[in-house]
Amino acid sequence: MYFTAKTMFRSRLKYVAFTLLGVGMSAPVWAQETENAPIGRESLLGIIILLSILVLALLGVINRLANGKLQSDIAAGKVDGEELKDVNLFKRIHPGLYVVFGLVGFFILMTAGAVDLASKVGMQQGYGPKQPIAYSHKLHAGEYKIQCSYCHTGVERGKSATIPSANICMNCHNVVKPESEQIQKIYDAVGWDPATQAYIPGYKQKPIQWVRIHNLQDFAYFNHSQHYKVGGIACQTCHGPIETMEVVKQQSPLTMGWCIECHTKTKVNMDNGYYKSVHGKSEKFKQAVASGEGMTISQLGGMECSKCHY
Amino acid sequence: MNNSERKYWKSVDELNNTPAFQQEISSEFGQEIPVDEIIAENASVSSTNRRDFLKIFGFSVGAASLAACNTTPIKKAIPFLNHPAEMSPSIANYYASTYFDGNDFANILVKTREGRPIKIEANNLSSTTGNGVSARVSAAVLGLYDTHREGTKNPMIGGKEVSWADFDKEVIALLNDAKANGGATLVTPTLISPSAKALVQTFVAQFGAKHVVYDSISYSGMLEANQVTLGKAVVPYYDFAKANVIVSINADFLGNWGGGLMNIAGYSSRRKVNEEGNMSVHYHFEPALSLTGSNADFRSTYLPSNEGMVVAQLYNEVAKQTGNAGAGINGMEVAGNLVAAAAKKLVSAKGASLVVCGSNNKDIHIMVNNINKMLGNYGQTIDGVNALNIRQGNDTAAMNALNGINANSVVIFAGVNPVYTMGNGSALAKQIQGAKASIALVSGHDETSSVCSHIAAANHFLESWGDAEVREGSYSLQQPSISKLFNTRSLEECLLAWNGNSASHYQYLKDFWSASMFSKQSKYTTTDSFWRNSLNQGVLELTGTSSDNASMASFNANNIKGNAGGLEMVIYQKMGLGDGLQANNPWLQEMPDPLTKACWDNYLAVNPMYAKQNNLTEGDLVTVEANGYKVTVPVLMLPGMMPNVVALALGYGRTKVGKAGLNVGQNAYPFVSMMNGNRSYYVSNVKVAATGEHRKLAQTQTHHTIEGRSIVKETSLGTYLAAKKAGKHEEYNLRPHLLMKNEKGEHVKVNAFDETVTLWNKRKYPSHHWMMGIDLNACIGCGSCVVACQAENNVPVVGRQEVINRREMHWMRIDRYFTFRAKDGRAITEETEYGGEQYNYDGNVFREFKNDVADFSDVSVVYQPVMCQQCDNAPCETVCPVLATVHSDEGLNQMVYNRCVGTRYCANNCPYKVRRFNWFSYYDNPLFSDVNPAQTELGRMVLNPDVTVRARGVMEKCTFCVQSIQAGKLQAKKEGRNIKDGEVKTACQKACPSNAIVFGDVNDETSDIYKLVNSDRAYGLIEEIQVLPSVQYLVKVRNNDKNQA
Repeated sequence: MYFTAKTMFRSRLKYVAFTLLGVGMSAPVWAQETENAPIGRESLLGIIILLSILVLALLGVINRLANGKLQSDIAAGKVDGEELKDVNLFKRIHPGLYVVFGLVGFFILMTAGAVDLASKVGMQQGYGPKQPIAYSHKLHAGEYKIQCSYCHTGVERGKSATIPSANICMNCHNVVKPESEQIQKIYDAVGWDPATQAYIPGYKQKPIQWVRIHNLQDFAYFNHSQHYKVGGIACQTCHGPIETMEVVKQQSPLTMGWCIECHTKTKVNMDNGYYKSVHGKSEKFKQAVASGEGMTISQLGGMECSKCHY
Repeated sequence: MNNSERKYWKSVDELNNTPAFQQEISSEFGQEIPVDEIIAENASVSSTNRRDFLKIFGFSVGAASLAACNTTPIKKAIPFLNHPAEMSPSIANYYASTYFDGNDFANILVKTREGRPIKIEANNLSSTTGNGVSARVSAAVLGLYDTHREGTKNPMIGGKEVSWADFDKEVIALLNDAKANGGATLVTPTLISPSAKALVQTFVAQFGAKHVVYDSISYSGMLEANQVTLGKAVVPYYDFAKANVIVSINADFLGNWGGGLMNIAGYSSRRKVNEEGNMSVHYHFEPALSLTGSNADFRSTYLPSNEGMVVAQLYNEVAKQTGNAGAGINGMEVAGNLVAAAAKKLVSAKGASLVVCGSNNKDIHIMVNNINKMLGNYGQTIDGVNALNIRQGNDTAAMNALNGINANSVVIFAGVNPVYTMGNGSALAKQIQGAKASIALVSGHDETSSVCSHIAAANHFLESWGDAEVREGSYSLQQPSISKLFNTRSLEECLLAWNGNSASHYQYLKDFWSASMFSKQSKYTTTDSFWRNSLNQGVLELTGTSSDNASMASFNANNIKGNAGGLEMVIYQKMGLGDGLQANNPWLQEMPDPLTKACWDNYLAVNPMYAKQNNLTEGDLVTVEANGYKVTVPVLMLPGMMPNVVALALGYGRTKVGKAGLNVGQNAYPFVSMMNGNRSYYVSNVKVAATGEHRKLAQTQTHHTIEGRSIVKETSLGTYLAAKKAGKHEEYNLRPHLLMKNEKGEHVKVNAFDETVTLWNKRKYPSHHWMMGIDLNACIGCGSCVVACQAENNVPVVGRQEVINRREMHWMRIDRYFTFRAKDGRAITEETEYGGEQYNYDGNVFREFKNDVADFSDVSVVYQPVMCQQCDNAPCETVCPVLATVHSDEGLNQMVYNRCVGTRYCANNCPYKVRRFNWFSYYDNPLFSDVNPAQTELGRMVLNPDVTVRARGVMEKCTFCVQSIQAGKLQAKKEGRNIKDGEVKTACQKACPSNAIVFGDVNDETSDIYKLVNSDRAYGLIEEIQVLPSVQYLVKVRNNDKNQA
């Protein structure tokens, strides 16, 4: 599942301004990896370039043909050579049109660069690459209602929610659906023999190389447990209706604007002993509790730079 | 008379206010910025017109976009297949372990992230080193990721990599062959591991081998003396916490002498002024200024060859007052009759006093032991029963064994580098090359291993199991905190293999502890719970009671007098490199020396008067010749030196080491000579000759000068107690004030930091208000905090040239100020006073000098750690054009790297000069590939993943370890409670071995920091400018009232 043309165009438009600053400063030498390409941009650009060349070539041919026809017609006396000496089509195109074409080409190239830069800093909303094992959240989280934290064990404790290790899969899949081609991939990775129901001794295990979807930059500190355990935020708030996704894609833009938007709106849990004891003395806090209005994260200093950047 | 209005100075240039100094401080940068050149180089750009610009711009944008026509890089996320229960991504694990490298010992906690050790901290359960760690212990984590280790990835025979099986086969054959020729020789540093000692014993018995203990720094004279007076050749345990009076004769006990780190906690606990005004008094006698000497209350100098005579003087004085027989020889008093004063004080504190001596002369030590015996200190401040197990090497035995290496020898070097650390290293190298076989157990080639035939690739200590008994009854365990990076083994693993023991080292150690240690304790009833708990805690303290086990002994008075004559040179160790074992550690190389503030070099430290008399200036290259050995080193002027004594540090001049330490400085080991059967750390008849050349020293000393503002406050204990009782706080802690008119038009004094006199609105901190307090009494200036900060905050290493360019990146520095004394005992404050007379502790004229021949031997020193002061009214914040530095609701001055565009206005406007600018991208610029560990895949593993690695063009500074604050808050929120006092600690605070740094939330009125900032001794730096710093210092109190001297 790649970018739909619509979202891609929108996201490109969004980052044009960003690119104008960024492109000139960077000398992009980016990874040459092509496997599992999330955006088939090279083919798209190739098509554009090919089409442009084709259009030019066709114009040239038409021009030549028309000119040849004209010359022969003049020779044959069908038309008056004095009137139509030159039928060069290129000269007939309004000069402004070249500028327009140039600008369009320029714009396309720039936006391509912009998307690349944006995705480089993790701004790739909608990115849903093909994974080595076609794991379905729709099936597990949606249909079977397995709790997210059953697999994503770090969500209550750490910064990372963690991508589950294969031993978590094997908790069930040592018996569940061993015939599936996808499950076989897990067996292949860990060295499980479904026939004997045992791990193969001395097996050289092959770690599963999932394609990373969310790439929050290192200069922004984000902690899952802060949001899930302390804030009580549901996974879906940021990750979208994950229980309906056959293939997971990045739901939220992961931009600072997006973070801040939520932090200005969301109210903190005033019952938490920490907030009570630390902020309890402040009049504002007392009023907010008394009125039942509560306070937002940003009102409690949650928008200060060093809360996320250090 | 206000003691707080003193003049402190950082360098002789500053004191003299030389034109060079004036010029240096008037410029912002260490060197001229070649603006014109830069413009000229880019002339084509600057002459570009608009059309050209558009063309270039259009082309570059087009080209960049074309280049971008590629797929977005795929990032992989590879989880465990089988997740170890104890390890979670992003959550740090701490393992209790032990550090011992033959010199330094510490009970440590190793912080690991995602399975990588990233920091070493103190194990607070330890009674010996529970407070903090030293700079070298902190920095040892970097050695694990040293790319130099890649040179010894596998065992090697004759330069070819082989398997361990083949290696063992050949070594065992060699060992068996050697049996016929008197056996192989195993050379190790002092072993304090009971289990390793048992393995060595088996090895010695099985192969008829000899075990030789060779220490790079010798304590053999002291051991021999204790053999006589205590009946065992040990270094006793000194309890500085119990000592009311401390007299040290050239023992740098806070630095490198004896237990080093172990002494600091006890010492500094008694240097803090408590409610009763109880504080120990410290007399120090030494030829060259040491870290410990700089912390003394009373200090005087003498010639190294007179050391025995000074001890004899103390002996005679103490004997006279305690009714004992004298030393039988005439002693030598130092300037100001300070020895007599010290003796008087010692006798007044019998049983609670302590005399330590840094000599390596057996007979001098017997005298010192006799003095302590006369004072009744054994069993009280000196524990000779539960003695230390460190520094057990006997010089005569070691020298005989090493000099006896011949063509039939099979010799194993494990953890020692005698080719470098022995005086006759080059001769030894030839002997080793001529030996039948030489086996070096080494992690990264050194001088010794590179002449050895067999290389047994060694572990780093963080990859090894082990145990230690640093002091009789003080056991600790060492556990690996990472799997082995290379195909390496520890000494124990090698011995197990060669002894034919098939057990793993882990199994062996566990069995050993179950068999030998379990029975010593009664807390745990099963061996399994005993092992698991001991491993978890890292320490097992079963120290018995102490008693007086010493006896008076006679000594040979002929051996007391040293080799006098000519210029004498002290050979010492620095706080950074020590014996040079960790010379390839760029953190240690770049750590400014506490006294000289120099890094990346050793140098000849001389008294400024000596320099003047010999027409030398700072940085002049001189040849230093003695004992037939000659080196060329730069001169550094160091006040506090005896005028006709010079000093040179060990640990430099490594020739076989990784890139960072290679050929840094000069090797001073060949100056060490044998005297009366032991190595002597001074030489006489030294010839110093100027070469006419110059080498600029990389000193952080006069950078960031404060231009004479009084930011250090110091008083004496007597003044302090009297004034405190009288409620006159201003006598020792004068805080700036203004005269303001009140309503009646009268002038009244108002505190300059009072909120009524400021234009600023007072900041409100509704939740937390983080503040730091530093007790100048406890701070000894050791520099441990600087390295810990570097490790925690990914502070880059910049190298020698950039330090010279004043671009060091350390987030915190320790300012060191020298000061003289005036007639009334206070320090000389103004330039005008300097150049007249210099006074003794008793107020008499000590010696007169004129400006041009000032004798700088009698100075006192104050240390002051300075980091970002997190000002309430921060001047940096108001000038940042892009709001990259802003204030938080918790009192922090936040620095946002991503917003910073590098105008450097903030650094310019900072009154404390604590901001650091990234002039380069140190993590990938090839200029820094030799020094910056973050440049390699391996070295990068030490980076703290919670702290951003800063890019070029960005300003940075101390954040009060905001990552720890955030982590502490998160934990409290998860548990629904407030943060407990002491729960959040900064890196510098955790590392500080003297507990000088307090950090916490002042909104919590029960907290330690609340008490500290409200103390009568608390003050802020340059308070008069109203920036309201969040770091408060406690006025330094010295126990140096006149009646004691």
